[in-house]
Formats: sequence, C-alpha cells, structure tokens
Amino acid sequence: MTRRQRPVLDALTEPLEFAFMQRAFLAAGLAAVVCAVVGTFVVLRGMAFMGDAVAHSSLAGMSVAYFFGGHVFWGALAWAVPASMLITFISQRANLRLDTSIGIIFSGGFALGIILMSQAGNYTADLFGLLFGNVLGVSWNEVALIGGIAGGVILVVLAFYKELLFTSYDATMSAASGIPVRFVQYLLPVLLGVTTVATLKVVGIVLVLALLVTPPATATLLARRLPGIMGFSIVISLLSTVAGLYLSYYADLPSGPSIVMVATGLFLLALFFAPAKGLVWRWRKPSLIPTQETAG
Amino acid sequence: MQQVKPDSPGDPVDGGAKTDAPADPGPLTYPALELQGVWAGYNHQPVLEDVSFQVAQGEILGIIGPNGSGKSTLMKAVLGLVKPWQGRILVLGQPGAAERSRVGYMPQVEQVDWDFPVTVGDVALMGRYARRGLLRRANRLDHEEADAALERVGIYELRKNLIGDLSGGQRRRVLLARALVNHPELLLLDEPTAGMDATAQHQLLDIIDALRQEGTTVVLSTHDLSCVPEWCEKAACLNRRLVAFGTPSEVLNERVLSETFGTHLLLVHTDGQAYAYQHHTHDSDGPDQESDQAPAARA
Repeated sequence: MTRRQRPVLDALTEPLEFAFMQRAFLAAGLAAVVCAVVGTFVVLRGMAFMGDAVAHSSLAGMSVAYFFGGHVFWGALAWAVPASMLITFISQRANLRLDTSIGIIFSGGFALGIILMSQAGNYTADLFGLLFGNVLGVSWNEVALIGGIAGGVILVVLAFYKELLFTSYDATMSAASGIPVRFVQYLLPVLLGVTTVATLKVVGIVLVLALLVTPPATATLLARRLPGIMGFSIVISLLSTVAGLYLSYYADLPSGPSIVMVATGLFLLALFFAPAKGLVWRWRKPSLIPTQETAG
Repeated sequence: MQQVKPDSPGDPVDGGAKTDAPADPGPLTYPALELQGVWAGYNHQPVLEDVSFQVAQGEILGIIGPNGSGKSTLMKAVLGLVKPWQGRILVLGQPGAAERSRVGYMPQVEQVDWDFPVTVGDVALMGRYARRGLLRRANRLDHEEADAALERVGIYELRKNLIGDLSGGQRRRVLLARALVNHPELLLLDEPTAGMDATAQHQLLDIIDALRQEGTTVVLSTHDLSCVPEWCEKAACLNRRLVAFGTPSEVLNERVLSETFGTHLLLVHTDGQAYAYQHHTHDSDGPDQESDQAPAARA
C-alpha cells in the first residue's frame, strides 16, 4: 500500500502517457463540446434526423476524397454543408415534408459513398473506419481541425444566440418582429453539418447522432432554461467521452461505441433519478400527480 | 377598474369618422392601417379577396368571421409574413413591413410551443430582440421594458416560471406582454378571447381600454360576437371578402352575419339580446348540435 498510494489516480493517468490517447481525449473532448452546444438546438427543434442524414450522406464526400487520395475530412466538409442546405431547401421549396427530403439525401449520399468505396482498394477495412470512427488513430493535424471547427461553431452560436433562440421557439413571431428568419433557418443546418464532420472521426458516421442527441436530451431532464440545458449538455457530453475512452482503454472495447454507451447510460440514470423529472420520484410520490380532486 | 366606455357603438360621430379618417385634423394624418384591394392566399388558393378598409388611429377594430375566413391571414399580411398578390397595405402610413417595431402581434395561443424551455421573462424579452439587431445582446433597457410589459399584464411575479407551467389565461398574457414590449402604435390580437372566462375577458378589456386611451390602435379577431359591440368601435365581417365594415350597430345584423357565417347562422332574439347560433359545417342539423352560441348584439 505504501508503494501505490493512489491507485485510482494512477489508473486515470496511465492512458495519458500514450500520445495517441492524448490526441484521442482532445479530439473527443472538442467534438463533445461542440456537439452538446449544437445538439441542444437540434433536440429542441426536432432536427435529430437531419444531423443523422448529413452524417450518412457525408460518406459520399469522404469517398470522393478517399478515391482521389485527398483527406476524407475535407471531403466530408465539402459534402455536409451543401447537403444540409439542400435538405432545408427541398423541404421549403418542393412542398415535401422535412423527413421525406431528409430520407432522400440520407440514402442517396450513403449509396453513392458505398459505390465509390467499393471501387477503391481496401474497401471493407476503410469503410469500417469511416462508419464507426477511429478516435484512437486521430492525428495532431485532425485534432487541430476539430478544434478549429469547434471554436468556429461555438463563436457563431454565441454571436447569433438570441436569433437562434427566438427562431427555434417561435419562427412566425420572430419573422413578424423582423428577425432574419430565412438566414437562421439555413444557419442552423450548416452549423449542424460542420459539427457532424468534426464528430465523424470520434464516433463515426453511424453514431454521430448519439453525441448530438443523447447529452442534450439528458440535460433537458436536469435543467429548466436553455442556457442551463446547454451547460449540462456540455458537462454530460464531456463526461461521456472521457469515461467512454477509459472504458475503451481498460476493457479493450471499440472507442466510439464505448462513448455512446456511457452517454446512453447517463441518459437512463437521469431518466429515472433526475431531481425534478426522474420517473422514480413520480412513482414514489403519487401525491404529486394531480388527482381528480386537485386538478378539478 | 371601472368600465369606462367613452363612446357607445351607435354614436353617429363615430360612424362619420370612418369615411374621412385621412382628413383627421390631428397631428398624424394617416390611418393606422389601410388595406387597398388586397388579394392574398396560399398555393394559388385565395384566402383574402379584394379586401379594402381603413382603421383610424386609436380605433379598435374587431374582425369577425368563421374558421378559414382569412382573419389570421389578414393579420399575417399586415405583418408582412404573407405577401399580397395584389393591392396595397399601408401600416402607419408606410407600405408593407417597414414599420415592424411599431406593430405588436399576439398570435393564437395554440400556435406556440409551450414545452420550450424558456421562462415568462425570456419570452417578453424576445419582443425586443429584433430591435437590438444582429450580434448584440439585450441590454438593461430591454430588460426593463420586458419587466414593465409583464407588470402591465399582471404576471410580473411569474417572470421566472417556465412557460409550460402557466395556465391558459396566463399563457395569453405572456404573448400579450411580448406584443406590448415595444409600445406598439398598432396592436394585432389574433383570437385574444378564445377559451377565456368572463373574468379573464374583463381583465383583457381593461388593458385594451388603457391602450386605447394612450392612442394605440387595436385590431382583434374573434369568434365571440358579444365582445365586438362591447369592445370595438369598428367591426369588419370577413369571409374571404369583406362582407361588411362599419360600427358594430351598423354591421351586426342578421343579413350581414348570415352572409358572413354562411347559411348556417341564425339569430334568435330573446331578452333584448340577439343570439347567433352557428352550425359547424361538419355537424348534423340536429338542434343539439348547435354550437358557438354567443350573444350577438343588443336588439
């Protein structure tokens, strides 16, 4: 006992001795913060599947870049931004429901990506990396890109916070009062597309949705107002990625799914035990549920 | 508050004022709202057909009409949210949506997402956002104006509550506070009395009375025929086209109302009051299906 006085601390610092783990923690942490901020609006506006569609269809852009020997990151970015705007444009102009235009872009881009990947060399292994992410293989260059995206997106959200808030809450009223609603209606999908790209390397195409949706959903169970929800969302998202990476390191599990499992676990905890909204308290205190007498 | 009624609906001076409102000798010579042959609609389907009228400054106009008669569309056209196909809309003497910060709008309570995680104070403050412009935060004055608007509608003490925790009447007041936060010269209220009990209606009437005394022009839409003679100096009967426009006593008669609400409306005179019975078009014709009973006008 005298030799190893702080086994917990040792367990926490041991992975950090490896440069690849340092990069993984940084990349995942940065992606977690930006996902939490943008994801809060995504959850409140019901745009979850737009984020998922942008991520999946980005495979097309990544494949083109991969095919021609470029970096998949720029391919995804070049695809995600126009794809998110196209979804918005189609739903507004073609009189299609939003989920329909999401479905078209989602499957069309994904199919194109698979076809392109199948024509390239190391089909299965590389496709697997894109679909499920490989945060342990992230380079310093990519960490810097993710950091740049995270910083840029958060600055834009802060700059247009009141417009994003008002338009998300009541688009008609904000238009009536003179807020440039059309601008905001395209701004959020673009932010979403860029955020998705920053997250691709961390959890992969298939699981981006989890980081966008699960921490903000957990936060809505814990906080009342939008700023509080965003703050909780950031904390929960960071906690999920850090704990997920440790889980991945010690249990030798794939990193992306580990992060998602921790986030899901935290959501379930909040669902049952959140101070005001937890299901357990509702079951235990039936008097809080309005009976016919109190409601009538 | 006492029920002050500065002018009775049948006042002949009032009736004369509507036709020559632009010649009003006051310092402001334009009408608060003027529609000139406005056509508007959605997807090639007209909802407003050749609607023209004027509302003088400080007047209260009640717009009556059945569901789908274009009441909300008319308000959205005034706000610049719906572009007229033809015709002109002059708001406070200016074309189109140029005067947005001088116009307040209270939407129907059903059109708002009441689960959104914002407080009463947040919603009132949103009314000031457009005025602040991009890249700027709400300042101290904005917060003071939001508080004052909440005070005015009597829900200042609820400012830290989430909007989802409010009762129906309180929800309407939040929306009214947001509409009042910029001290609008023209106030548009879409169905302000729908589902309100008598007490809540009187509280709203008090607020509108006070606004009228400050010179605010109010345009409200309603299903409730009884509040029109009580609240409004002018009434407009709308069913896509303007069926009638004038003082409530000129407009609220059986012929006009039947034309506005279609053949399903009938008036019954009892106890010195006229009651309008409106059939919903999808209802059967059985007498127990009659609904929307409302005292229409004192006979």
